[in-house]
Amino acid sequence: MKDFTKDNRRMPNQEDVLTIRKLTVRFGGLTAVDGMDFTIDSLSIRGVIGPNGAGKTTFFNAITGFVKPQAGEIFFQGESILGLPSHRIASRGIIRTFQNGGVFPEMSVIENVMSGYHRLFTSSTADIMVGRRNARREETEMIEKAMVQLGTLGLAEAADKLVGDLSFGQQRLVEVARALFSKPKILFLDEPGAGLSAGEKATLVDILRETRQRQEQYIVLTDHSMDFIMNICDFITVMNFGRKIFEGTPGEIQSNSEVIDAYLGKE
Amino acid sequence: MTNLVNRYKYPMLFVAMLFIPMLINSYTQYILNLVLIYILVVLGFNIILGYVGRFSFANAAFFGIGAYAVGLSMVKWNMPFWISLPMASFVTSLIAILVGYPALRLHRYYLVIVTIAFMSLIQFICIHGGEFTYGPSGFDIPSPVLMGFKFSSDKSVFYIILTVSFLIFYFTTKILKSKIGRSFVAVKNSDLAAEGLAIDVKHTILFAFAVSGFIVGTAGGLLAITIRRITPDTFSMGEITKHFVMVVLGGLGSIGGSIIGAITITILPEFLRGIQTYQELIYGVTIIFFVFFAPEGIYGFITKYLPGVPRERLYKR
Repeated sequence: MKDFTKDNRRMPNQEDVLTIRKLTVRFGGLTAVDGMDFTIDSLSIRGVIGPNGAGKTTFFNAITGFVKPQAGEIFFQGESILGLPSHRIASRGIIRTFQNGGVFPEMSVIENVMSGYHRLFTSSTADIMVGRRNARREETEMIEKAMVQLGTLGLAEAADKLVGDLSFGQQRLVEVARALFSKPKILFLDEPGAGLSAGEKATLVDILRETRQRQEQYIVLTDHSMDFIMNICDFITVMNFGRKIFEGTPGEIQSNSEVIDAYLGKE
Repeated sequence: MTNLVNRYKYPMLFVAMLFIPMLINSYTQYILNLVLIYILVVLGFNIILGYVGRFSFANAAFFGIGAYAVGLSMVKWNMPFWISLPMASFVTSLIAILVGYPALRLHRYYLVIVTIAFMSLIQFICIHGGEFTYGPSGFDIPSPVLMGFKFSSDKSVFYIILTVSFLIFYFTTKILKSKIGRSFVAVKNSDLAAEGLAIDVKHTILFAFAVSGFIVGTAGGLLAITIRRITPDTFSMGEITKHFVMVVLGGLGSIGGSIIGAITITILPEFLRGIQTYQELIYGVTIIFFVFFAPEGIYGFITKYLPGVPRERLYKR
């Protein structure tokens, strides 16, 4: 639960998982993200919405290290992660999926999911090369967990299929499964619902709900489908022209006139 | 029982292969030695082309560097083969890492050009190296000696090649069927998505080059004691073309494909020896046929159309 006795905006707090202050990203003359403040302090599913070009993806890219911000601060569990290479940010547990899909088409479904585990492996390269017992055991246990993960998504039968041979929607689900398999502390989903069939979307909603229930990770997502966002998110941040214009619960969003003007459209 | 066979299939294959020299003549033995060497060459090349998917064509350069490193250290410094071979492997591995750096930035055609230029440069050095590299005609390599025994025949050299290639094969398989092999293919498919899963793309590519250089350099060292004479022709456009055909024909991104490609292209000319005039023609037509009808290579073709032969996995249960 959100603790209103602390002013989270002033100090990066240990209890805050993610504190972002005045984050700014410019591409040449264009300011894609303009002084964004953003705090994740409670286990919930957060939505980031806004019209096309509002800067949602750039905002995600900046947090996950794929784009270098010009100004601002990003604290993850009290430590600054600003300027770290993206793989280092990911290895700390900030995992993201990609708007255009980021699966590995030449790998099978299960291999894709397995590669999510990369950051959690403890055995060294030398252990793997000589086939030490600990490395073998870790791999075997990981394979079993990956199968379970696939089962929960209804992808167990497709385990050995090449991901490139799957439908677009299934590929997206594999990407989400892979991201969840990396046991992220914060999971950023960039339009996870895009291109999914109704059935696949239902599966996705189930997964996200279940994940929230297990209280293991913070989820931040964007999507263009308002139904989807309102349905799944506990708290929503609205962006426009790179700025945060409103933040609140789905109910508050729907009744805020500024948001309606900017995004939902004037009556 | 089947479990036991499965578990010890490689040691059993190794023991079985120990008897091969008793069954075949010296020339066939020589060809078999070349086959084993080329399996390593193609495996090393496949790691770059088929696994991490970088268009580096420095493979023949690594092959030559391995061969020259073994040859020169044996001839110039009287180094025993048993030291010069691992030395050559590590030296080639280091050089491969240096070649890997441009591969971090350059893509596709540009990397092809840079790496072929690198190979030509190494070849140039060997041709014009004068006293140091013995110039264009190359030099003879002495036989390895172990406790008074001279490995001078093709059959005796086979035992060295067999042992080394099995060792390398073992370690390479362990690498490729693990998180490392998976991170190679991840980097090939999407370096952004790989980074997003905490895979250090730069490190992964350089590691792939290091492994590839080690394997191919070792193969070069084994080539030196097999053909017993090293010339700058060891790395030429013709040689890299051969490696390329082996990888593509066998199957990109698979261990099985590497083996099939190396065997096919090494043995094919021997079968065509009777019809010398048409040798090149049949060779060319075969390649064109496979590129058109089995673009995924022989191994890919088998796994796709032959039921019961699964695709090679990037993990081992």
